[in-house]
Amino acid sequence: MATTIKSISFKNFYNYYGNFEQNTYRFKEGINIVNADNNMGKSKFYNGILWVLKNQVYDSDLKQIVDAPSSLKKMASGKALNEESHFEMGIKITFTENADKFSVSKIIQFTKTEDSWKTNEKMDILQTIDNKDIPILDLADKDKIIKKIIPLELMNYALLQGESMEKLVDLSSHNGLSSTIEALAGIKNIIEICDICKDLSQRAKKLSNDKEKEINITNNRISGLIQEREGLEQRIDSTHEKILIYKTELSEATKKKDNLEALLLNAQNREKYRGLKKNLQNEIDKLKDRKNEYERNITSMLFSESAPWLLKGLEHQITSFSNNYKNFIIKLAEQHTIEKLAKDPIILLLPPDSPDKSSLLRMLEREKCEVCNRPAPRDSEAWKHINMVMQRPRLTESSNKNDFSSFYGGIQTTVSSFLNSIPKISEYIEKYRTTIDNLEDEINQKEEEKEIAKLELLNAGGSENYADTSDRQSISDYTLAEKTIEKKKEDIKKAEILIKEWNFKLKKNEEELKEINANSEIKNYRDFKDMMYCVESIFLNSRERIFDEILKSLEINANQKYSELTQGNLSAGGKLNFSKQVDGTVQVCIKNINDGELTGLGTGFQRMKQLSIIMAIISSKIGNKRFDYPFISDAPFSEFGDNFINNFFKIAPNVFSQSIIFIKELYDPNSDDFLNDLGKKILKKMENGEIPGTFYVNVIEEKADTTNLITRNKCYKF
Amino acid sequence: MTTEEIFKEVLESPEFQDIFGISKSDLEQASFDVKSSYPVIEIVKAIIIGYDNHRDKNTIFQNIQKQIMQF
Repeated sequence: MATTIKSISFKNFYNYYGNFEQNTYRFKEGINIVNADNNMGKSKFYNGILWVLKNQVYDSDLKQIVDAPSSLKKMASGKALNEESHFEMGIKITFTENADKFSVSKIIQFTKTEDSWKTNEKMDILQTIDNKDIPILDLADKDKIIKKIIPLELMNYALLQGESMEKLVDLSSHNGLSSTIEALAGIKNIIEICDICKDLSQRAKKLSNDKEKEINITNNRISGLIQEREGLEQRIDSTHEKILIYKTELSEATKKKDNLEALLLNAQNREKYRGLKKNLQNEIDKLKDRKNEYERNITSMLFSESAPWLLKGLEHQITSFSNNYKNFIIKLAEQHTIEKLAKDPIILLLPPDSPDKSSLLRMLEREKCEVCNRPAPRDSEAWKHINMVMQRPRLTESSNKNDFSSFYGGIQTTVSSFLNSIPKISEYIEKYRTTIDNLEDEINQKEEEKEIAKLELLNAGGSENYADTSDRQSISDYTLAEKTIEKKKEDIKKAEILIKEWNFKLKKNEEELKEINANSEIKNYRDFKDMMYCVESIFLNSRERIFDEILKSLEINANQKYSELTQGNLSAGGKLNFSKQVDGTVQVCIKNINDGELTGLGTGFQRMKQLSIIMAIISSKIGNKRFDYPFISDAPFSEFGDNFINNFFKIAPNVFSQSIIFIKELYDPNSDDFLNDLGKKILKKMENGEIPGTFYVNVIEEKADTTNLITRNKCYKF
Repeated sequence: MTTEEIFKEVLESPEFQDIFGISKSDLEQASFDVKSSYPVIEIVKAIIIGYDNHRDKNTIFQNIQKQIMQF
């Protein structure tokens, strides 16, 4: 094990308010998890490490890495800034490198002046020897010790942020994967020896040529041939140099094209998400209009002619009204009868014109009551009664309009038309409310979709403003890069053809020279020149061979990691293919089973590709060299599902001697221990010893805005 | 890579057999400490040692010339 981080402590650093003791994380070999929700210090923790190693931090406002000195005030705890006039902000990392123990403290002293803050930086590095802390004072020595945490050439691979993972492995530039392979193989010295060989070969050639000229100065034919040879060699050399320039230009254009390709893809994405956002906004506006219309109509529905909502629940009142009305009519009739009976008790019992006058006349003449079928002899009481009935005055209709019967009758007539609709009013209202609720849900759904589209737009580098003219510039630059690539390829091809022709002429020239100038001294110089040229080729080829072997081994290793990481995924992720380009750079693409390039894979797979390469690089052991350094990653799993996270935790301990992972995918704010099911599962595996390492959860002391937030850690497993 | 590792790696190049006619067993026996009868192997050593001892190119070249003269 080269390096193990033993602990990291913070002092008034972002929301890590307080002294080092209050904000200490002790780590060990294996996986060290810092589980935290958004805004609970994951990226800030990562920033602390970035600050020590690169003097940079990620500015979440600017969404980019910035030089730390320009961001000191943002890095300081808001609470410390608000409450104190003099305080220290900093980070302390203790680590071991084999048997050596080191402590690195980077501290900024803040002192409040009238209208600003004065800052003073200090870096204390201690090496512990025989239990004694020895301060390191020399700046160069301090720098060397910091690089022991993670060496510069591996920093890109051992220190990564999930969000920018796609850009991490620079696969197209000379400083990218190829330089990492050179570092992995430790072939920096062989590369330098190649440069020496080239110089020695040139010297041997010059020596040989000079000797030949010197000896044959009087021979015009030989001098002419030598002159011709020198001309050819010069042209070949200068064309070789041109080819190198073309290759560099080709490499730059290819890199630019690749970068622009990503931009173009983002530009297309931006266009897609801008359009989507706009469409969603239109849909939201329409839905809101509909909802408003429904809500406005509630008033008119209260007084609707067919089913006025105001009558909701009044069906019993109508029945009760009908009954009351019926009773009222009966009571009214009774009242009238009683009143009239008092005036004319008998007659009143007969209905008007019944029996009719002719029937009564007949009954008188026949002296018989046809109503009761009894005899009524003339002038008897019965005959007189019949006569009295016939003589009774005609009743005039009582038109007493003050008994409300017609008023209530009118009400009943009106209300009866609602008798069928009133019981359905509740149903109507429920339907109406459901429609409004559905519209509300639909609006919320669209708002969420719009928010996602907005985030995607921002992720693709877009702004909320609709116009983005730089996309057009990207397209134009892309076309130019493509043309440059074509031209440079053509230039290289032409130059190589020329060199071939000149080499052919050179060979003929040398054969002729050898034939007519067989001087033994010259032969020795020629042999020496040829041998030096061969030695130059031998070293160059050896370098290429070692590089290719490492590349092959990396490809195998990366594919193994890729397969392990993607295990259990439903869709196949293809196979990683490493290929060396004409300019010496290395490109990695994903190929399908038919060896065709696999495009259109999701971000998750793309990140897995990057992570596999990183894992392969980190876990590579070339010769007796080991590359065991801490792997530190902020939010590496933001695009991955549980399956991948599980796979990662399964294989990571075999790849990284030590990893420190800041993660939110195991966090559940509603759980007592702030862990979701996956978090509990991982913790249990750690407790059982299945996964070696430590487990921390960040919590906030009390709710506050971002500047006054205070984060503390809970250690679940050490 | 150490100088010894570079030497061993370079000796694996096919040019030693194809161009200089050195046998595989001779190549396997070649060592950094024992002088070889093949000038090209001694040149390779001189370059590696010169580089390792931080000699300038001119000095390395002169050393190689001396080696060649002895053959």
